[in-house]
Amino acid sequence: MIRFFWWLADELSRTLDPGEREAVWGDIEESGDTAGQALRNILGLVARRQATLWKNWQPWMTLALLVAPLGVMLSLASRLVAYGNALPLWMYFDNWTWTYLTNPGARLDLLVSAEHLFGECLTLICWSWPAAFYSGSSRAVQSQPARRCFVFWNCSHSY
Amino acid sequence: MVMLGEFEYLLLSSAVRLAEHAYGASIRAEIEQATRRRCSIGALYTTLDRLEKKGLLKTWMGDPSPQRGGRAKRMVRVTANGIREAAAFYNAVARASRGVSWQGSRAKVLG
Repeated sequence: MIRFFWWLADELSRTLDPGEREAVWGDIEESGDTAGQALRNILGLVARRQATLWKNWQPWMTLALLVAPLGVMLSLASRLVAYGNALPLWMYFDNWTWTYLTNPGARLDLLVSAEHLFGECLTLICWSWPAAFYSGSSRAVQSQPARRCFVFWNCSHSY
Repeated sequence: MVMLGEFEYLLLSSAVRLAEHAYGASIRAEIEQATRRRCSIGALYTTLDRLEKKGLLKTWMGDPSPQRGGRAKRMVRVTANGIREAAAFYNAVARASRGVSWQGSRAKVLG
């Protein structure tokens, strides 16, 4: 448990600026804080830093104009792809026979299904990468909280 | 002029007392000793940032030391403005407390 607390505190502290992280860990080491105290201290600092970021209007604007619309569209598209391909994939995996490759008609069906799946996955990749790149690099939306929302939103909806 | 908060005043007075030895851990220990309460690193560092933005103190990264595992310190120096604001806060508290005794379990008005 103690090792987990140290690990968690270390992971949380990575969200801080490198200089501040070094000073904070030095203070913790010098004060002789226990793992629990270190975790509480880091958690408190990270929470305060995040809360401060959300006091500005930029993260809220980015969330409303970029993250939410892109996140919703991307998650809907992911779900459509998953629903559309679930049945053919299950059919092929659960009832696999080499006839699918030897029979010309079945082979054509298999190729069409594979082409659909590949094309849709490629489209999703091509869509999500520039969306994430834009939200991560654009000067207009230099907002760490909004970027985290984007990643969290898409990770949670892709399931 | 904006009145300081009590924690801001505690931080400034600790940093002045510590002089060239004022940095995160030493200020924290000084505040804990003075108030006999735990001082969180989060409160300390966010208050340092706030006071630095107000121009009441300056911070910079100092040299690493072995007792800190070779990690650098965030050194603190109170500016002339900071000293002025802390003095104003102290004088306000002293004026507000004039004629009031906090000895014992009840407050008394003296004189």
